[in-house]
Amino acid sequence: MAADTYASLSDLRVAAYLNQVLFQLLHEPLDLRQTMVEVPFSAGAGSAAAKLGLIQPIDAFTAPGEDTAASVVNITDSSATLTVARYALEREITDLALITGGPSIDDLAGWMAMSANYTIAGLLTAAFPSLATSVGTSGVNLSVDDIYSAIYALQLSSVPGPFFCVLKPKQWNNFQASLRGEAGAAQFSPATNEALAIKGPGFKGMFAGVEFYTHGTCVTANAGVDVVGAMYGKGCYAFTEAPLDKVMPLMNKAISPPGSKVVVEISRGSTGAKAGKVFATGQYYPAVAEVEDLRGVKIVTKA
Amino acid sequence: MAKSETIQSTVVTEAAGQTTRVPVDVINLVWNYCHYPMSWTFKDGEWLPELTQLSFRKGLNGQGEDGDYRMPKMHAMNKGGVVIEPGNPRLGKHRGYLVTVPAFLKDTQSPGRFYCSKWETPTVLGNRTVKWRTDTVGYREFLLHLVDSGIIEPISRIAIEAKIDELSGRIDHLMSMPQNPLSDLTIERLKKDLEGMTKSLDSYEDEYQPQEIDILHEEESIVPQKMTGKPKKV
Repeated sequence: MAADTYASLSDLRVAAYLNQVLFQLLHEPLDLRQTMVEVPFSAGAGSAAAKLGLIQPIDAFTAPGEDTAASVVNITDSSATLTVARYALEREITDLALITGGPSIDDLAGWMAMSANYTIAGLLTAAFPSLATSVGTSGVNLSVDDIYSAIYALQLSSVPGPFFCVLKPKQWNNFQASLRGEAGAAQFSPATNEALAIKGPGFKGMFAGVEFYTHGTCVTANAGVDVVGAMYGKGCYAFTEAPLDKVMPLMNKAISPPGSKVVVEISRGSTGAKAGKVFATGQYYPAVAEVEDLRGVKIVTKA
Repeated sequence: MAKSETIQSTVVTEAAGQTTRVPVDVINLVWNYCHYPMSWTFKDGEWLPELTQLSFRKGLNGQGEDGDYRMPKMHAMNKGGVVIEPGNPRLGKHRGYLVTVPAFLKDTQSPGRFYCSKWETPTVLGNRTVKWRTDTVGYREFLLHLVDSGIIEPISRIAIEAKIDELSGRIDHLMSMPQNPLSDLTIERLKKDLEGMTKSLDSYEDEYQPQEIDILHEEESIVPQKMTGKPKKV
């Protein structure tokens, strides 16, 4: 008799078994909160809007004369508003799906924290076109000259470093292509493993003292001809995330991923349309605001 | 506040008769055009306003749960921006410039709507590649209309001079670098632009006149003058 083979033992074999390790599809992993100022949200203060007071601390002294009274110089003040809003992400998994394999509820909770990073980064990149100062030429690829123009614009306004530059991946490609033709002292320092561990994936490196990041949610401009990145100093943007401490005790079961303000509410339906399903709903209350326009400059170049 | 209009745009695909969702990087982001005083570009002999997209999203720049757009609009206007609402009657035939196409996020496949201008048309090949075509003639007409109708003020002398300075610096830098045929072409193109920009400044008509200032009564003697000039097409 012939030997038993893989093919002959088909009743004892499956077409493919599921590897226990889940590979993640391509996604935008970057957390841009590190480029913004965090403002703690005061829960219970009576409003969803937090007003940030801005003040000009210095003014020049005048020389009114030995026996002349000085004129009043008024304080220059301004404000920005952070208004939180509800963002939610819901997953539904049936009991049978959970019984027969993953992803687990803990996995879902962890991924929701990543989704929250993506959401708040999207809020930030959506704010880039609001910057009044612009560099770059419409319909022309980004070059090293545009990066220097942005640096000069920030320096003209005496913006203190560090500077952050967030570009669309296309703009980043153009920048790298332009760098190849550059000669001179300024060199690009690619992200090292240590830097990636601190700043996270999406950090590209440093050039002329500027930290470079890319994010896919940078928006378009000029009827789709261009895309909008930005270079800004710390303090240009602020963010806040409202805590859900008051709401969590009211939830049946809740998971809050470490280091995240997202709360994943777990519930299960046993009757009607919800029968046999587990619901994992991520609740998140972020806000992003441009605090001081002069601390940033948008980079508008060909898409 | 004028009501915004969005209309369902038509997505063109390579498969005849089939409408599909367009893969995009951002979905469900409503916006209005906005113009800042220094945002201008010199193209084909004339100055065109360079518009940005003022985004409206809950949690961004003061917009709360009620969806009221006034906070982000005020934020832009405080910086000298002019918000151009799609329903503004002064836009005439360009009214309703904001349209939507059915779309999905490239990364997550989440479906939604992509808000774009009516001059953009996507063509989808397969399910991943999309080419956006822009009706540049129509868009240019829209930009010129914004200035002619008074929605946007004409470019000021200050903006022209700033752009000339910036371009001159760029040309100087390129000329100081080792040159090759490509950089020669770039320098030639930029020099042509510079010549055009300078000519437009020469032909600029404005009513600004320098004033004598009374040093002792400085605050009362300076009267701000509004520049109302407009550069001619060169």
